[in-house]
Amino acid sequence: MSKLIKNELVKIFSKKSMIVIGVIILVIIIGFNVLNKVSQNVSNSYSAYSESYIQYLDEELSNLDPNKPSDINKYVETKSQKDVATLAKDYKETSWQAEVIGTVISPIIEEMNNYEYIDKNNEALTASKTKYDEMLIALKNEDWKYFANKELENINTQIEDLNTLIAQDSENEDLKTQLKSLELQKEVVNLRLDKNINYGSDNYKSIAVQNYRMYMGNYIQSSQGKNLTDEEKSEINGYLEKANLYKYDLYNDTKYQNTATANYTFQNSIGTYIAIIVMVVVIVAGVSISEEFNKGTVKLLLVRPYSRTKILISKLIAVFITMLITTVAILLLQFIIGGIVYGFGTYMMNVVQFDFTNNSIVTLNIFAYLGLIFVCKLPIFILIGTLAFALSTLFLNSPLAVALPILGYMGSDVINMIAISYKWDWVKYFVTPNWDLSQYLFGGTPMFSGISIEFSITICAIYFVIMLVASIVSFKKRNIKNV
Amino acid sequence: MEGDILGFIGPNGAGKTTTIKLILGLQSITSGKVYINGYDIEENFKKAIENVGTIVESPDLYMYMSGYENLKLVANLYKNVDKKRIDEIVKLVGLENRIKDKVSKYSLGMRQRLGIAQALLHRPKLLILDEPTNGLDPEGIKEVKVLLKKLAEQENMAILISSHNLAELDTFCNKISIIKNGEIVETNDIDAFKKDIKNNCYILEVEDSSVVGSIVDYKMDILTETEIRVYIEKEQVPLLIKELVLRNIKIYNVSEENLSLEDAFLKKTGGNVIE
Repeated sequence: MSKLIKNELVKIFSKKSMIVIGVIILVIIIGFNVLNKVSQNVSNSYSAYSESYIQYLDEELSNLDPNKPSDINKYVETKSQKDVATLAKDYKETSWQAEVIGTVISPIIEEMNNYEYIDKNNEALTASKTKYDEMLIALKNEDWKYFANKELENINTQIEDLNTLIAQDSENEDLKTQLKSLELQKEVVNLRLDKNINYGSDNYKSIAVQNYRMYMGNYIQSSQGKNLTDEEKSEINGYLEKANLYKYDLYNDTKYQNTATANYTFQNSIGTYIAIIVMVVVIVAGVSISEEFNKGTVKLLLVRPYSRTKILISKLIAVFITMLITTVAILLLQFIIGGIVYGFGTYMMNVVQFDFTNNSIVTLNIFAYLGLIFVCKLPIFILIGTLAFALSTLFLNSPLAVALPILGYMGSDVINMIAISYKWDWVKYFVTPNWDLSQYLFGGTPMFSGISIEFSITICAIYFVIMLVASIVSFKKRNIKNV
Repeated sequence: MEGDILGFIGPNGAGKTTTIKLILGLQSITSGKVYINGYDIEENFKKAIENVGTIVESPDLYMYMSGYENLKLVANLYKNVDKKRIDEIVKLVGLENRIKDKVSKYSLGMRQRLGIAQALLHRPKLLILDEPTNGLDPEGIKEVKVLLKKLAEQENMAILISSHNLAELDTFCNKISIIKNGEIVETNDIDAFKKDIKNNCYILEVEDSSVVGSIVDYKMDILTETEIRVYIEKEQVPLLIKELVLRNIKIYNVSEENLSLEDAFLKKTGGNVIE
């Protein structure tokens, strides 16, 4: 039988289409790595406020008269925009100054313009101006900690206010959520001051702080409600996971979530590569039997001293071997190209994952991680490949046998989503909610309630056996029609 | 059967290819048994098929591979075929110059040769060829015939050849089997068969056909103004000519009427109905 398998592999790999697929895969991998790298650089050298924008605002201003009541609001708004732009144009968009100008200084500028042109309140204007000048000095002195301390003060007063409110109304859940958000902000500012992490997004730590604040904030906001659906629960878990991964980096001075590493690109690209492997498997499996029948070469195969069952199973095994070869080739290429683009040294870094079973961080080697992921995705490849193979054997129609499984694969997420939102419990006996075992990794909860890893493996095995038996029976019974 | 070449003839749609497929186990048998080398094809498929080499319908090969790679694929599946044997067969069918080319670049004749090569590779005892001379030029047909005859004699191989071309078979088959509407009508030695279908018709080309009928007393049909068909034994032909010449009738041509295949079958089978 090994001879049969070898022959099938020779047939598969001497096709021109395999070379074409190989080239496409290579282009995709190179493209993925280079684009990821380029996108990192682009965001670092870009200023939102250009001279032409300021000129445009100047023109707008010259058309408006601050003394006309109909123009006054528009005038103040445009003038504030111009003042902010003039102040920010010297700083990169990712710099801490740009962020501080956007969040802290621009409200003050608006306030000052309001006092000057609308309220005509000189006293208030002077007070604002003092604050503004102080900030300008801090900006010039590169003193971002000034702003951090200001923010901390502000948060502390808000927390005090909120605490008095809660003391009066201890049952109010909204207030408690607000308090949690404020405490998160306080934690973030303290983190900045302790770890010397400036505002802006020009370095990894600053980005990590922003992301931690965003994901944790989302988590606090969304977990407030009761009676959460499964869908919402998995969304919240996603926030918690992300927040904890960034938190880990911040408190341990690591850079695991840094996107500019070969490791990260590797992890990020897995979804794309899985889709490619599925395509390759489906194409190879979908033409496996039907092409031999359509081109008449099956007669050549069936008059050999081997039983039809053996011939069929050899073909299926050849499909699986092709799948393994494709997987290894893709991973190897990504390893080499990723290493060239980002430096092989970054592979030394570990992959961190959030474990939901005890809400802790797990670190593991990139290769162990990839191995784990691909073992968990194996049922997808096997089942989708067997489906294409069975269709090919049953209907002897290559386009159908290729198109249907690919559509099924692309539609599987949609099927799952619809089933979850309509609470169609019986869909759990389908293959689509069960074939991705990575949903059980790191204490993850499956999308469907009431399925377990044992259940999933059983379902996958049942579908596999059904498709295999159908193929064998049909292949054994089939007469070779006259052409 | 060993050493025999059996011609298997029948008109289109008579069931030649279907019969061959039944013999090879490519279609399931509803009634009856097929034995090859004493083994039942259904119950003992592997043993039965092991000694068979075949081309069914047309030599369907893997177009995207070279001729050599195609043969290698076949060779892999048998124990007794090595590289030397492949080279030997390639030489035998005369493909040694083009064997490394892709089959898609081959002419139909070359594919036919490669088809024969893959059928012979594992030294089968029974060779089943379905219209093996299709697409070959006259020289190629002759070569194939010589080759098959040699194989039958030297390697003591039994050969089954199907064809709808009677003329093609009669020169080298020693037995003939006729099939009609899926049933074997007759199986006989080629000589007996030939004698049997002889129909003793001669076409005469004369100046005026209407005159001839009034002169001689044989069974005849007037075909055109100048052509006439006479039903006589071979020995009587000189007598007829002599008689006509004596009566001053100009004879331009006398020829034996060739039986077309259809005529032969009509005679033998009373017509084939394609259902």
